[in-house]
Amino acid sequence: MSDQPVSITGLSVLSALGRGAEAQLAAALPGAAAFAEVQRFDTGNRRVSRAAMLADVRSLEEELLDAVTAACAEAGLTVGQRATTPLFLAVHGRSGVRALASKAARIYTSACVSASTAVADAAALIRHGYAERIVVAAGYLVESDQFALFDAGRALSTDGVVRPFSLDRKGLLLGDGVAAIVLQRGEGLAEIAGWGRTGDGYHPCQPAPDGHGLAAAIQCALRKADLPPDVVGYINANATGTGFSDASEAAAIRTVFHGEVPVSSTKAVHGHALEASGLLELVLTVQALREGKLPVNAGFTTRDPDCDLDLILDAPRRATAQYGLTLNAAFGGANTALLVRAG
Amino acid sequence: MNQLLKLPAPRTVAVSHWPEPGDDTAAGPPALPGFVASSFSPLVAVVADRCLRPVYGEPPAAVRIGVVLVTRSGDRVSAEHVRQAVADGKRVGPLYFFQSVPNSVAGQVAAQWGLQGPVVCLSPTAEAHTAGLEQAALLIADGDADQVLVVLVEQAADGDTAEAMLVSGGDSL
Repeated sequence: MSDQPVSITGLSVLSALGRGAEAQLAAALPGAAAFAEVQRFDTGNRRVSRAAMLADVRSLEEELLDAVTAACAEAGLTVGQRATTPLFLAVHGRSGVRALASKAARIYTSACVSASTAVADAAALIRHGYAERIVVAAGYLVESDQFALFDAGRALSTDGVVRPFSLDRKGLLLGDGVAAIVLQRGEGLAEIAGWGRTGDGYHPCQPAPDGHGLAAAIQCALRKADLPPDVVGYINANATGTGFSDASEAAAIRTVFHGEVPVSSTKAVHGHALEASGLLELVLTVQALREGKLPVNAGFTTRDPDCDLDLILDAPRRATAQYGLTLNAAFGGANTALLVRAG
Repeated sequence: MNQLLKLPAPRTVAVSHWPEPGDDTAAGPPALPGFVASSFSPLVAVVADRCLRPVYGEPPAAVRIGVVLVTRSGDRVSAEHVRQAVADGKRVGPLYFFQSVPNSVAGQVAAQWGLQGPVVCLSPTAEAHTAGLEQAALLIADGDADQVLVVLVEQAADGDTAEAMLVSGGDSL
């Protein structure tokens, strides 16, 4: 095992909030949500017609290729280095990204923990000497089939707003997200200090109400970093604005953190980017720590006793610690926690 | 060194298949409550059961078992149904939402058997066995699982196939 940290040395990101990490945080800090009526495809037969989409977005494959190129450029990789760097790709499937998929070393299709699992795996392989450098790229652009499925499952918010941890939360809204990072040994923009991946063993589609699986993932990430919970100064929550899911996550956080730790879910502004959500939210967490400013938990109106957390409400907060956690959970009871150090 | 080095191969504890001798391939695997219209999820469930039961008997199995589901095409039947319904401007049945990602049936297996290790789904970039076993080796060696149930599943015009392997470590990293 190397004593050197595993670090992000280059990154690229887009969402409906804009292009670049700075644009993400600038919109997320005050809670400027990007949801609007869907123009990309017909929603006439759907209960809900809103999502967060970037206006000038190109095809998923083009955006992913650009993201990888930009992240590698920021990391200072030569053309030769880029060509020999393994690519871990997190997408819903190969359709639409076949050229890029043919170059990938691994393709993660683990729903909403795809990207975060890829990051955890890449960090583990680098820390333990099985790779020197890995690119992780993830993408989801809102399209008609997934939109129809989430609509059919009554998972989409019917009031057009995502309200994580709020008593009146009504569901999630989908959002574009494409991101890429370069991970390698040494210092960089941020360190991936720890990671955990667990399962609930509870239900095909619902999280365990007591959040035991997600709590175990957080504890695993802290254990791998050999750090106590009180180093964590920010949690970017998975919270989708869904009733049982947000309450489960709150229970997980309360299980591990006995003191107050600032929490917000940025899905309230950029929406749920499904397979890409873990990477989009990791980049936002890194940017928040680097700028020392923590984004608000937008859409919130009313406290829920089942979500008793130190939510960042009304205004951004100044970061008081270098470490942050980004949490993700998915169908199948899959959970991930990524512990990052930056700033 | 810019490539992925091989992890120590995990040790295979048990293997199962669909179809096995005596299986009615025309009828397909037994229906799985909560999953509709497609053989994808029932295939996963039947090979998982066949793999775990000889080792652990009745559920639950050990807690720190992960599930790695490897499928190149995913649930083709369900995906095509949704694609056609959307193209025709029709509504999609709600159960298709719950089976829209391979995680769901992986979670079904985990819930039935009490497995609380990681749940990872992959589309293989090389040979499916290799992809699944490498992922399992990483989860075990990195300390997130003691054993991993690797399931390979494909729906094909010439017949559905599925295989499950229960594997153990291995050396730690």
